[in-house]
Amino acid sequence: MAGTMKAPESGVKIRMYRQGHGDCYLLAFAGKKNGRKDSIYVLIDCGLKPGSEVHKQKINTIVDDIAEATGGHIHVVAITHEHQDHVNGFGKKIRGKHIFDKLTFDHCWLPWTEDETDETANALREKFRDTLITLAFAQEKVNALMGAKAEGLQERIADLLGSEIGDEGVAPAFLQEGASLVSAFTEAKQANPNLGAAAIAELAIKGVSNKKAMAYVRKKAKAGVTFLSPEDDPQPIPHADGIKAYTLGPPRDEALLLDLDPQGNEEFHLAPSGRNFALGEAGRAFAMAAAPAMRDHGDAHTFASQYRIGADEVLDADPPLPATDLPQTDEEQREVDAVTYLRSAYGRRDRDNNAPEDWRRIDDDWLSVSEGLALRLNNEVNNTSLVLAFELPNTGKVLLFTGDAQRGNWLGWADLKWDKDNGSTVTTRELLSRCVLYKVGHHGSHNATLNGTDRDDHANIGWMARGAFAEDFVAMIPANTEWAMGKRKPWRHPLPEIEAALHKKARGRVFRTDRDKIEKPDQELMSEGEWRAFKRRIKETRLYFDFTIEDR
Amino acid sequence: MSNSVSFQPPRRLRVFSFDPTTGNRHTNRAIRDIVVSVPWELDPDVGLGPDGEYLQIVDYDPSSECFYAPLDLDAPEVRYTDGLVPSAENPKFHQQMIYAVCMETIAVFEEVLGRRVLWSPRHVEKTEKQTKKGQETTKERTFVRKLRIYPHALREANAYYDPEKKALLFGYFTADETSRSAAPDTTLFTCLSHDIIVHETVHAILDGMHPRFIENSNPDMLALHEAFADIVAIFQHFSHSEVLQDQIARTRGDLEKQSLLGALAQEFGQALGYSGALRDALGEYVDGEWRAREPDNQILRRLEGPHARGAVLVAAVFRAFLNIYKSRVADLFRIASGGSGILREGQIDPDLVKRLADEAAKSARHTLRICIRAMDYVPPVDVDFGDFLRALITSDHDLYPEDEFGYRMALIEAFSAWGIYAENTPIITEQALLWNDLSNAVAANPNPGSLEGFGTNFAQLVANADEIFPMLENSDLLGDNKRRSLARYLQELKEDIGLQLSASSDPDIAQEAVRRGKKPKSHKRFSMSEADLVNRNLLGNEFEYDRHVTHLARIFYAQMFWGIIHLQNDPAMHHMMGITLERSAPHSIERSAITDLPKVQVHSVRMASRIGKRGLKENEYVVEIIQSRMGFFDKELQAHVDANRKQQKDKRWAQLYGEREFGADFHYRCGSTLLIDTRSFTIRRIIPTRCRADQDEGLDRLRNYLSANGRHARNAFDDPSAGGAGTQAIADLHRSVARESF
Repeated sequence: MAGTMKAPESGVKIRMYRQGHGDCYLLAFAGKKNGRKDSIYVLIDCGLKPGSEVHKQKINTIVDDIAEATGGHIHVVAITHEHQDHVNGFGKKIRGKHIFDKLTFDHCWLPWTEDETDETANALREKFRDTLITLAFAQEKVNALMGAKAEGLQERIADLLGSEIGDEGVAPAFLQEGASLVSAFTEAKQANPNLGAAAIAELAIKGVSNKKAMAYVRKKAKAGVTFLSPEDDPQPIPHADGIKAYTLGPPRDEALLLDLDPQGNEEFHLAPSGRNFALGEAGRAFAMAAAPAMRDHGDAHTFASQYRIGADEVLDADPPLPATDLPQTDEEQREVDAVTYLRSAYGRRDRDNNAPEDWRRIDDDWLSVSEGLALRLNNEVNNTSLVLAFELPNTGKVLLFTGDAQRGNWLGWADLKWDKDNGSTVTTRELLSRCVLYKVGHHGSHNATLNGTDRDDHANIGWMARGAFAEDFVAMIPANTEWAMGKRKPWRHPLPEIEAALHKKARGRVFRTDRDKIEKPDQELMSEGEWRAFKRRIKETRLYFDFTIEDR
Repeated sequence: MSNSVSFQPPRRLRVFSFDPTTGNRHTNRAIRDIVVSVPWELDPDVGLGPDGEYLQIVDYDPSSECFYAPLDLDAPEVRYTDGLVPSAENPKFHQQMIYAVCMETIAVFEEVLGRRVLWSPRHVEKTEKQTKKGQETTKERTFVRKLRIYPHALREANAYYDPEKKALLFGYFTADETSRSAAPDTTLFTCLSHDIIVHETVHAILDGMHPRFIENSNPDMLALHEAFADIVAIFQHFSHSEVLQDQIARTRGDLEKQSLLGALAQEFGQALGYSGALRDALGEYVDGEWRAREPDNQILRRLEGPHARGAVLVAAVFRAFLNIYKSRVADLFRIASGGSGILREGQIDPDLVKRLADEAAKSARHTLRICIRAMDYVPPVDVDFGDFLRALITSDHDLYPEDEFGYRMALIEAFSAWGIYAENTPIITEQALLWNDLSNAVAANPNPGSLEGFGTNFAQLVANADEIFPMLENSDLLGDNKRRSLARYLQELKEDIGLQLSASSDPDIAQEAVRRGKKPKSHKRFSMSEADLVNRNLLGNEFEYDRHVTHLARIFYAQMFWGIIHLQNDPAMHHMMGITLERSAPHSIERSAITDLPKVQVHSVRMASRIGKRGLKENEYVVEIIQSRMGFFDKELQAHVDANRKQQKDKRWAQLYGEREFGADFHYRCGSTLLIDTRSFTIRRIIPTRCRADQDEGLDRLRNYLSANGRHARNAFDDPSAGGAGTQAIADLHRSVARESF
């Protein structure tokens, strides 16, 4: 077939798709099947943020190309984590059918955090679940309360919720990303009046598009699902002799997973609680107010009724005071005084009546914590990214795919080591020193690529490509800057600092989704001959970049 | 103070010293609550709310869709019983506690600085007139009488000062299974922490003194805001000697073990994030035993972020406090031990405990005063820890020329132990750390005549401000138009002051004031006719006037001072003051609409009044002068703007940012604080920023700092360099607390 993507004689060809702000990588390893040379395909992620398309290319064009390149069969599909821009390709349907239906998969690789038999993973998912539902309810409140004036916050929540929830080909309307989850929750509650909120949440979350995409891939993998953990031995790739996939993350250490800064020597342990509002201390009180539907037991008031004055009584009561008659008792008089004071100090809800201190109101300030919750959820889900280091057998070259691993995930790598067949061990430091291809995490953002030097104790780009491998280093950044910077609250992707550091290390050989060509670096960075040799190893098209790494 | 009110005893109000829901250690039971005294005359007319002269508590809980009933401080069950009984379940007690602790903080600042606390004014856009180009708007600094306080505004483990709303917002949250401080499902209130209330109040007070300090202009600036707020919180808490007694008794009289007071400071701040983080450098538990952290003079080289760096400043000041305290009690130890200095084993005498606690409280009060006073001795913008050290030393030196009790030695020792040095001050001695006085500054070579003229004019200003008008009008600084608009502006200011002054005594004028949209004050402090107002020195006797008058007077005198600066056309003198008025200065320094020269803002002219040596009152005028320059990350663009090359500038801008509206990436600010003697009207101290606006070195430094900020981005999306000032700065500061290991 003309469109087949062939692995090199020895080594691997990497195809970086240029769909937009998101990840989709197809790897063709040189392997053997039925005694004959064959290309063995590994697909890592498939998705993008709606609207971020490069050259207006549709994701189905990409999937068509994958089908053509692989002949319709992929040996391993690895999903790094449950975010829209990594999975919505798998969820996308046209005329009710998944666009991936035309392909077949053997194996599905997932991070251990997707394993339902793992207690920590379950606790983590419980936390993500309740945070997500809280945010979906909070979005309703934010939209209702803030109107047009807090567009920055509204857009931020919309973006982040969108990433967590995903889509199946048609993106939910702007600012309505959480609506489907809210209605799923409400419906499940009506249908199951006797279930507790935690069980309802479990039902509702299944309908989330990202979850459905994951389920689709898991079901489709004929040879089953493998959950990968940094404790495991390197994973072989069937039919690709000698290739080893080392799992660096997600970390098993819960403090790293949640990117907590441990204080002193205290310990932290995640355990599934089976109860509602499993958001942790930071979000619990907020969730109780933002998502009252998640309450199991009626109203939970902060203070006793004798102290409370309903907001309506102050903000929009009409006539002006609660009683038209003169107050009879001291108690009544006190209440009238209280309401009178609060009205004069805070003002009424309708803002046309020239309340002198209108600018000091705080009706919506409490909701801004939802931004923090959403950012934290985003960060924590990123941190569950499956991080894979593929090692080529002959030269020992390593390809590093980090998903969107954040700082906590990176910090977990340093202490890992694996036994080799010959009795010696491989450490992360040694492994990364042979890294010649780095798929940059989270679009090159802050904290998703740790900068540093060889001397640092934590893994960072200074650990990569050392010694004889130093000359070979190449980076791939999945980013669409024009789209990201065009947001009302722009996303700094990639962070110029990180891009500059990579540019320096790779001596200009950095692929970027949104750039049609890699510009020829300055003479002092790279000789003419070296540049020509590099050009021979790459192919730059509108749809993808191909890059070959020989293993000889 | 007030000349009208008959004597009233102070309001005594109970507050939690330890919040029982978080600090319910059995050993602390004896000091769970303390009584705070609020001087009656500070807030005589406080009403239901509490709603008084400085504060207005509005207990709205929007997330719960309800308000909580306001507290009446004059209700019999409050007024005659030291206030409501401390209780987490009663929101009125929460209001009482916030009121009491806030007011105590305000009282301390007023006493130490000798003037009224003013909140930072609100900037209101005012439409001036319709011109061909469109509406011309100016920003007016309007008076904000009351800090608004919302005790239950948020549902998070956070509390913050909102500089736009001039409000403190406190949150509450629910402990869960992983909570360190409380049982699961306990509700924890940030407004029940004494230290958090003080911390937030200090942010507001400091913003009133130095509104530019919330700009992230160097690695220390926000750290200083945070650390200063926490230093005041710790030492205000410690100045209640009863909270110290238990801990001191536990030291069993070992002088060296007195550093255990650091553990107490940590406990006071432990409950909640940021406050705890700022105290991390004091010490830690090792194998169940608390140990003071050994100072590390290299640590600031590697620490980043306001909380980690702030913690070092807190630790340095705390170390100085311990040194002061230890030297104050050394004699007690000698007396009690019969000269050996080592007490016998076992419990120590309760009388001795009390004496030691009193000395510790006294040391805390002195440390607090020194720190607060120093805030008049810092540059008006862009301050770092070294500047603060110099401010501490200079302000104390100017008040007490002889370091009789070794306070300054203690400070210098502690700061250098933690690696806090003043930049370009190689020798760490008291003399070297003092800010320049005029004799040093004259080396910069201003014309002695202009300095003299400056002093005369300033004297004139204070004696009779009106006579500055004709001088300004006759100078060739202004065109006719400009002259008229300046005169009109000053005239309006004068009328406002007169109105406010008179409104306090005459009901008719008060009505007039209301008609003109200026809210008069109900409280009668003072009566005076409009005519003689400018003949008085309104700065010197602030306590006699309404705070609105003070606000207007400070602006009025600042405007006049602005004129005085311009009257002396001596570049060398301007340079000495950290500014430039030269036409050739880079055009990225904004130009004044009145003079077409580089714009200068006299931020405020205020009086600092202290009781100094021999119990005499020491007065100084504190004048802050600020100049701003537009900064750009792109150096080419910067060069075009500096040289006023309009076409190239527009072209480069379009290249970089396309359609986006032109605007600076950041603002580089500099200037100086002048301390002026009230008797001789000569400049006593000049406290400049490191560079002047026209010196590229400072601009480059800020640019480098901001562009290297990528590492400190608060999340994975926002542009890190865009941060800095703004409404959310402090809220976010408190939200994202990264803890460092020391």
